[in-house]
Amino acid sequence: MPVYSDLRPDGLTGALLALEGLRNVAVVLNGPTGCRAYHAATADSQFPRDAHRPLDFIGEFYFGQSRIPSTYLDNDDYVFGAGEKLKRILPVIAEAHPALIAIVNSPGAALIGDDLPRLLRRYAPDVPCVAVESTGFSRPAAHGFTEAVKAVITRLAPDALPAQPQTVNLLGFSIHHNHWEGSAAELRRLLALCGIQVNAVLCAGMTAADLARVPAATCNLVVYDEYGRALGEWLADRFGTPLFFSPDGAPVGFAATEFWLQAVCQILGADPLTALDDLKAARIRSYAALVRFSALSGLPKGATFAVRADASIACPLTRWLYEYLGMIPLAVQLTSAPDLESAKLLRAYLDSIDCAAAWQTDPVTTTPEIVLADANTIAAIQSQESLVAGVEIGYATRGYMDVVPKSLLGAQGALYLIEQIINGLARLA
Amino acid sequence: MKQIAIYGKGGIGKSTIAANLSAALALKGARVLQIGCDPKHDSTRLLSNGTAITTALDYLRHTRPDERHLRDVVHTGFKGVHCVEAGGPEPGVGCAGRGILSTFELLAQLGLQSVAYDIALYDVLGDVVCGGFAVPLRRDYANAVYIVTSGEFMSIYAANNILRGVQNYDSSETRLGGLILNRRGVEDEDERVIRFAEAAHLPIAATFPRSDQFTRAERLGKTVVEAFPTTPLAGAFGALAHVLLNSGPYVPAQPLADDDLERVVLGSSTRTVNPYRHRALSQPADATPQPALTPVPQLTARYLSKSVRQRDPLQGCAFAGAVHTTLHIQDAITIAHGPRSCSHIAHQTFTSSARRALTKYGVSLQHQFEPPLASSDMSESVVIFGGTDELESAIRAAATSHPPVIFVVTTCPAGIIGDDIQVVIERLPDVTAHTRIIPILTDGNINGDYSQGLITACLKGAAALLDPDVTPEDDTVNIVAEKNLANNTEANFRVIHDLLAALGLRVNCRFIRATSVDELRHFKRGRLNLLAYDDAYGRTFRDYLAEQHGAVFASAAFPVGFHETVQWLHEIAAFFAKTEQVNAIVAQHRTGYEALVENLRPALAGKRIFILTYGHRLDWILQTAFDLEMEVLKVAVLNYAYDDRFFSRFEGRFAVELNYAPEQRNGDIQALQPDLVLSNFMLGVPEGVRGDIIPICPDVGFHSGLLLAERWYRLLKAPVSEGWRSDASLL
Repeated sequence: MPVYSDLRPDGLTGALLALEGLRNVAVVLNGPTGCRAYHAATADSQFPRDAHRPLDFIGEFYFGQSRIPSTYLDNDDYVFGAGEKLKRILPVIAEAHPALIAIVNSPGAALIGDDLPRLLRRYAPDVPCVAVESTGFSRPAAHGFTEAVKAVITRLAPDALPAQPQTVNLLGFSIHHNHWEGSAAELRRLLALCGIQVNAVLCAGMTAADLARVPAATCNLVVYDEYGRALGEWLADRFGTPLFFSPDGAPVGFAATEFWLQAVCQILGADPLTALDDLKAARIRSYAALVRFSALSGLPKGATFAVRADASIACPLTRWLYEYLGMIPLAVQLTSAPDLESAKLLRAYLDSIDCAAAWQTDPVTTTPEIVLADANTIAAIQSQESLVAGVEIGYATRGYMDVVPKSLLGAQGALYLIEQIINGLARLA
Repeated sequence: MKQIAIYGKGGIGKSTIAANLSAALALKGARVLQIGCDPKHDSTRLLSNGTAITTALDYLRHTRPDERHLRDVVHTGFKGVHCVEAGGPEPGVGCAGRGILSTFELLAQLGLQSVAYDIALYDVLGDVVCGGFAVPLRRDYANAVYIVTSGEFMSIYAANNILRGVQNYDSSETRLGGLILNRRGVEDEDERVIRFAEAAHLPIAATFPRSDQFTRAERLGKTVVEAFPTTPLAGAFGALAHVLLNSGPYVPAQPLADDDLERVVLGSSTRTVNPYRHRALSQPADATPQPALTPVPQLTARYLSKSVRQRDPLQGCAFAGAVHTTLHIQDAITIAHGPRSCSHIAHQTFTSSARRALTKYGVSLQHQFEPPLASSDMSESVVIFGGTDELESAIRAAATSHPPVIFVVTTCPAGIIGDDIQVVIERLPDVTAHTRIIPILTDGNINGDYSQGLITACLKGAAALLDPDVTPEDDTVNIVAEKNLANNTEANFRVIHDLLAALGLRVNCRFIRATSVDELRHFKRGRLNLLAYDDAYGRTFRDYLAEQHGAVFASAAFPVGFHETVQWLHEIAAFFAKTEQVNAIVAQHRTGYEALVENLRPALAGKRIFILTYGHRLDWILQTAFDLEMEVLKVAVLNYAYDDRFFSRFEGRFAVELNYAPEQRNGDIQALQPDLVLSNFMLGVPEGVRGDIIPICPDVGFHSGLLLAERWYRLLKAPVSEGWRSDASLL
């Protein structure tokens, strides 16, 4: 079988899940139900935010799912336009008094070119509205994400605000990221230990009112390059807010987190010592576990691993697994473009540790001892070798419900990964 | 049949010329069809006494698929000319090009291609602006193209663009009949057109002068040919009709570059029509005998999902349904022709059932986590300029592994822009030499819902592989219409497989799940076919395979519950003359079943249940309830996309309400006071009521109902309401 072309999400998913990351925004899809159901289910599982009463949403436009009502376009609508459906759905949505109605065209609807702004003005005149008329056919999810966030900021935060000292926005989070909530909370906690307040996490778990405060941040911190960089540059142009990003990627593992915190504190003139102490405590906890695990098995040193993730995660993760745990990469495959700085650094790094063969190798073609990826990748490997351990760092998941939020970033993220790796390799011990 | 497409700039007089030509052709005794491909639907008005006819798109919009007939959209006009108008949206909304595509699809589905015409004229709006307006240029349609132009530069410019459109479709064929000059009285008119014709190597097939006879005839609602049959103008149409009937010679399209065009050339009352009215015209007494409208509809028009048939809102899209089917033909590759979002969604929903099955049943199929799915990755520019090149690249990439079959499944954007998949396939003789390419034109949800996609993939995809000459083998069965997205499908198959094995039977082919091109090719080795679900979807598969392929089916679907399993085994055993094995199998399970019933009955006897369900087959639950001496207060059946036929062998022993509205539920619960509410979803059940979930796709086998009853027993011991539920108020 050949290597199949890219089946990762594109701009439609990026835009819908960017908007679904806002708490009190009504997201409407002008499109068929086939484009909707998956996104509605994903939004609800990644960011449950209502009482989950399917019976309340059994009527027209909802089809039993509370999220992303749609105009359920069919052939008649493609030929004659979706105006009639929009005329019916918009007042229904407006009745719930959302802070914003965001309407997104499906690829098919984008071709027809319904005049969404006019219809929004006419049928939802009392609610702020934005229209994302094209999310970019086959363009990366990050493109759709960025365009959607720009649209809502343009609508809700039209003007620059005076910068509030020691405040930052976190950029690059999407509810499509696995463990986004715990990861954002962990960075918020560590930054608070540095005396830095997180103003907004674009666009994951915020309200429309939070968005209005985005221009007031002193600095925009790009955590995930793929989803945050272009947005950060746009915010810098629009509001003059300076931008920080680490070419090494996100703060995954102890060393990367320490570097990241020190760099942020240097920019903001803040003191990182308390946060670094927190990381030290985490290192001690990690050591206590690793020294016992290693004493009887020598592991995790020498254990092999595979990673499939965006470059901003894969780069620091690979480096940390190699340097901190002594593990050997068999496959490191990116789910984002290989031309980002973090991707280039990763490739050079793999060369430098004599693991060049791992670069962009499909994990499913290898038999690692542990795989850090999405659930499909893990399951595909486990279907060949059932004892391979897996850590779900990407979407989709196997359906494990994280009642307690988990982090992949910062001190808590490092400890979570250590825990998963130790227990995942226990069969080898 | 000759098929002539008449193109030209908007307002140049195409419709008038086409209608006059049709009239002239009919006067020569030809059986003529004229199809107007213009949203303003006035192409055939002059053939119909100036009146409007029902447009195909209005008909499509307002008529259930199973009630459609060709005679409702094909109207008879002057001298028996058959007239069709595509119709379309109001200016500025919707997609008229998509409308043309839909019209041609409708006419094909209704069997127009099987009607015996001598000649068909396609009168097409303006330029070849998109795939929709290019439909008449496709190989299946026009074998000759004429372009109407005046001497105005923009008209000639449009004609040149049309040549480009024709050239895009014709790599080797020649089918340009030439120009038809319809004079507008501009200066230097004939010379301009002659210069253009010479430069583009085109003949001028006819020249029509400006004449008030056109206007006068139009006022009468007639063509010149009908109103003034003895005039030279009518004679000119007769002469052109003669040319059309006697073919060619045709020439290739050789459009000029824009600069050359400028140098060559410049070197130089309609009536309001009813938007929707059913009114077939009566045939005039002196009409040319026309072919009878006894069409042979396409298979896709005969086998329809419930939602498509009833024009319900479409749940899911046919594209995803088709992809989820073809992905189960494991040595084939499926290419999603569309933007990546379509393949991503199809991939995620396909793998989600595998993930759920892995979690719940420990069943792991590698194929389901890495399915052979590729995307043509349609980009925005492709959407504007057509996506056939990208599709060709995707097919070539897939073909490098030499799969026996590549399926191309189309999405909404592909359908809207009207990419012609057949043209792409014809461009790939080196690929088709070793790999069969099968297009499945679902066009996203344009051709129906998810369920329709499953059907279309069967009709157009898998069934195309079946070898009709294969003969049945002893002791073999096929499994038909399993639900590929249900998480217990594989577990159920294993139960069925074991029951069949106990009878000494083997499974030949699963139609269509976890199978191969070769297995499908040898489908007919299966002597008996076993339906997985007796619902609308399953019955459509069954009817198709029985009617079109002579497949023999067992009367019952996969058995759920003790009684059903016993009956099912008896029927299959009788078919294969293996009845002696059945009693032993049943006896083995009966003891356990009866012991469990005896155990549970004291606690459950007399308990009252209310059932609210999408599923239309409930006897497995009802049997259990009655065996346990429970009281069934009411069965409320909701509208369900996959079924519309409720029946039970226990009818009369309980109240039943079909098409139940979900909002009735709490009132019924209040009135009936059941001990237990059984439903496919439990959320929002009123305080003080115990409830439990019943699966829409139940586990098969002897003990299905009883396993649920064990849980009912435990639920009745549990507190009526758990503490956490009161925290809903905190949200």
